[in-house]
Amino acid sequence: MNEGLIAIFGALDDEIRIIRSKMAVDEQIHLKPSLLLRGQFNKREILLVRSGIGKPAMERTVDWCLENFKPDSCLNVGYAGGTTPHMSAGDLIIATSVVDAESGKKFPANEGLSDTAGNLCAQKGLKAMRGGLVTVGKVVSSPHEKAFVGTEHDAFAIDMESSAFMERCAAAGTPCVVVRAILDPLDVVLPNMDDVIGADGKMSFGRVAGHLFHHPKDTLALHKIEYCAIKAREAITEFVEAWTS
Amino acid sequence: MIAKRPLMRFPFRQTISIARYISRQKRAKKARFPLVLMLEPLHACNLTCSGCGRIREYSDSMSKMVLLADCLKAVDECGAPVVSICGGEPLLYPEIEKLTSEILNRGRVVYLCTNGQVLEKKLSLFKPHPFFNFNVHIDGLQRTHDIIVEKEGAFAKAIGGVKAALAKGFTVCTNTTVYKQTSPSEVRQLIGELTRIGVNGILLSPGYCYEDVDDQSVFLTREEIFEKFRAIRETGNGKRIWSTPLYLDFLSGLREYDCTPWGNVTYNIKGWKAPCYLITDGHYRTFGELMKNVEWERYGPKKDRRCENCMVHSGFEATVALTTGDSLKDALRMARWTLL
Repeated sequence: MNEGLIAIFGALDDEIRIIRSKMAVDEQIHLKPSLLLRGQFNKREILLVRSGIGKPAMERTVDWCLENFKPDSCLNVGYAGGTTPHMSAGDLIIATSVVDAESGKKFPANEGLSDTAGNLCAQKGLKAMRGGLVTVGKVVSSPHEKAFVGTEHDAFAIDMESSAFMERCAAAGTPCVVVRAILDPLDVVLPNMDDVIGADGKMSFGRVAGHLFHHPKDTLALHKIEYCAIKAREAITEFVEAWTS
Repeated sequence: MIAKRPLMRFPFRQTISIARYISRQKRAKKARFPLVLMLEPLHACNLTCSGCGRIREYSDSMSKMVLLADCLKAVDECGAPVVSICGGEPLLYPEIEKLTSEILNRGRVVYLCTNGQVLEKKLSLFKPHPFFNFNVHIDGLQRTHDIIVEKEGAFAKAIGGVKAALAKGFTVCTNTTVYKQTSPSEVRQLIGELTRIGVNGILLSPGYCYEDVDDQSVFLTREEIFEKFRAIRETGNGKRIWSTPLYLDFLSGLREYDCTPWGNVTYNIKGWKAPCYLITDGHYRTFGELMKNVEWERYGPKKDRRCENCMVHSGFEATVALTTGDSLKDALRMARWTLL
């Protein structure tokens, strides 16, 4: 890995929370709904970006970062939903390509960066698979729908931002790679959390409490999701530590 | 233009293989032996068909899969000459290619049962083989099928998969489940359409009223089944129908059969499912335990409430296969039907 600036993009606060806590932040930029943090992580200069949910937020943030910071390479990390039975919570997927489900456009991965990601995972003992990723416009929560979307697009996992990330990096000619961690394996049904996570990708205790008040049945589901999120978050952090070492 | 039908109804070598097996079991005076292993390597599926009990009953094990070695162990333990790889959607099983080839190497007839949604994409994993059949689930013409499987475009995909498989030389049959809302004239049209496309065989069966399915109104009573199948048969059996004439007689109320629940045994992530493909009273660790411990006499239309309206082919075609030889008239009729 060369010594230039690495930009690391995540959509949700939760995805990059541990990385952020370990970072020495020199500069903080608010680009609503996004947050950009420039500083040191693992003795490397990085730009850590929380874009907010969805493709438009990711597009805008990537464009702005590429224009103003000109990183040497970009990494998109975050959560993904599993579309096949053999991906478990916390497993990493190194995208060989990303398909946008709405437009059908396909973005191939940078082979060199994908190979590096794969080698790092092998060295660190991180369970990772290389395969297709598909970006959808709204949350796909049911197991059968996840399986269907996966089979339609030859994808092992689903997310909501990475096609935008790939498209903007490709447009700027910046090498990039997507590495996501499975939050909800195939058989885990995501509860509808639209009222809990803001457009900026932040979740507040108040919103969670309000949601559970109105949807008490989600208590068990949220507990399970949090367990999966811990595994996914730890996998993301371990990978990023390896990536920046 | 209707694609040319092969000389025999079934692939000849498959028929001989199964006949030899039955003969061996009868010579050995075995009281009970399965004809078909329903092998479910996973329950993950990319559709949510209205009448499917499986995806609902096993919703807590959607991400689990049977290891390849355990699948093959089940095939060996059971010894059935026919293995129906189902699920879930078996084309989602990562080792489906190896599983299929290993079972074929064991001399078994394989039916790979699929909803056809990814059949065309996955065809390159397989090679045509005299003992290998794709069995594609198609429940009606386009509109009906898409409604039943709850996915627009599913019919077109399935038919696309069928055509692609036929073009590559595979043996392809279809399986149509008949529900209360199924129109007999539509089934006849579907048979015509599938014949025109050139499928090798068409299987028909009424649906089973799985308790896990919310909308029980889709399922037929016995009387309704008789009425429906008499109407479906009005234009004759059709040269591509693989459901036996004796089974179709049974479905039309023209003869009585008792169920042979051990004729089709099921193995999945939880083990050997008892007592049959449709009902679950438990799972056994080994095939031997299943055959020994299940009280088979307790099951059947006049014995168990859950069997009351069941006329599904998994239990009754087995009865046909095992009892045809008891009547010369039936044996001749079946021989003529199979060979001509």
